[in-house]
Amino acid sequence: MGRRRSSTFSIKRRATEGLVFDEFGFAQTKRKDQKLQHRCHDYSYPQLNARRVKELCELLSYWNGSSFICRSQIERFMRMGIPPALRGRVWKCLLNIDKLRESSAFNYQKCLDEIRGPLVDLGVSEYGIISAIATLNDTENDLGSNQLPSRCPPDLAYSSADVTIFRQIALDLQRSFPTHRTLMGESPEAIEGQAKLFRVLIAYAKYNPKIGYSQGMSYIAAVLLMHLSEEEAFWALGVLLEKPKYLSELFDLSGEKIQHQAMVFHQFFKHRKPQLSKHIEDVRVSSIHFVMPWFLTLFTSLPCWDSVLAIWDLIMLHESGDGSCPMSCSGSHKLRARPPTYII
Amino acid sequence: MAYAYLFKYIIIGDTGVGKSCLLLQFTDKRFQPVHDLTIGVEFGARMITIDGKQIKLQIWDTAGQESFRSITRSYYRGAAGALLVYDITRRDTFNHLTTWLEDARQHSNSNMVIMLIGNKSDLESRREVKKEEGEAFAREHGLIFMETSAKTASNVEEAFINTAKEIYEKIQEGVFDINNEANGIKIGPQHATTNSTLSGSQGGQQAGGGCC
Repeated sequence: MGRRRSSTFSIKRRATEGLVFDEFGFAQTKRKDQKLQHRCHDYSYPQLNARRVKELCELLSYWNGSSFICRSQIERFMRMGIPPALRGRVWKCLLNIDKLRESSAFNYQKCLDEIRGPLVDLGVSEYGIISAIATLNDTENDLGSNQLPSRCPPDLAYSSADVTIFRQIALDLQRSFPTHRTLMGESPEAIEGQAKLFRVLIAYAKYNPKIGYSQGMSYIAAVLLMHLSEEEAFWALGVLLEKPKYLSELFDLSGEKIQHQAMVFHQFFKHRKPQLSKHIEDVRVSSIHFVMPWFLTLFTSLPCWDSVLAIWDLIMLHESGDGSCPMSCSGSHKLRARPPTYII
Repeated sequence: MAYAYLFKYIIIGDTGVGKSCLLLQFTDKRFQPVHDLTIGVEFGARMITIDGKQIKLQIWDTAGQESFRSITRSYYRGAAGALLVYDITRRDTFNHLTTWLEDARQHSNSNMVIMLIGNKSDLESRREVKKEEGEAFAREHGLIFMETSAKTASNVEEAFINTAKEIYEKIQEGVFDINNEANGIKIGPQHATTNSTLSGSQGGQQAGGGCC
């Protein structure tokens, strides 16, 4: 397949700021800045023809997650490349979001209503993240200087734990895909994007206080929001972090599980790529160093966005099935696909 | 480029205090207000000159969030210098210094040079922690102290270089066992033939990161 320039189609401009975005929504920047804005690229992922697209749509319309035939068929499509426009639907099917939503006593909208109280009392809004961070900093400073680490004035709806988590999430909103059009700068689109991400993450912290919020989750939620509606993204995050065997254990506060996963990966790696693995050991880079951002952001730290999305397709397929841990396998795929210079 | 010594540094401190910005300002001489958050540990390198000798600084920049603590801890081992950073506009980041310091002392070699940094000194109007408080804390715990601004580059260069000077002096005094790499110091090819280094040593370039 030939390499296409993304400028031939679906290129988006934000005229007021003179910004140009690639077809996945990452800002194209001047050459000198490219090292930091590494996610923007020309892409060359495969395109399905119209007949295949129709077949995929049909498959999704009678999708049954427990059917072996459905699963092997969708895997076949994944190998051919899922059309970006259909990816959200595919993920919804694979994760079976509706099942979790219907079986859960948790109500997303109600939760947001409950969060509104503390936000209003704190005088912050998710639509003004910069001023929210400043206000939350001040509040935290005041709480600290009043020597009231765990108590707040009784007539207010927030606790100091609320302030901490609001601030932590707000702080990370602008540091998660800072060059993506839905999160970059202060355009109406970005303000809305940051607000949605804030709500999804806060709601998740309330939904699953055991995990709460951990850095890395903002990237995962942001990718979900690029493909799904706000509430769907919330439930998709819920499904992805639901199974104890997979993602949720990576966000375990002790950090032990990620180290274990890094060791599992290391064994895979040694077995599949002995030469590369030896080289990395020789230069004293430990697997945990590069594996951590891969796993904790579900590979979104990688620059090749079409590959990232293809990895996500596979993870969702395996996550929803009973297969072995998808993380190490995906990581190993990643290393196999790239020359050693990719990591060093 | 050949170097006489390689010093390993680690940058620690609460989330959002400006650790990555300090590193970028030092390695690339620029301030990037919009950047990705640090997941786990990132890496930068730069060459400096002390006493006419080329010294390569290899700097590990760590994630500040509590949940990464158990992993970032393992990077203390083998660090010759640590930059412990707080944000002068946020009192809690100063209050947490004791915990950071305990952690650092416990997991590093006893000779590690620690530089205490009060960052964001450009935000004078929002200051919550007085300079004197930082100085007092540093005095009490035997640290070097500086206030910096990653934004304006004020004192950034000095913070990294003064730490290196201190390490260099300790080497001269024979405090560091430079043959033991666990001390975070390596003798470079300018001194003796050693193994290949981590990256092609280009001064002022940030190594690591992804490329496609």
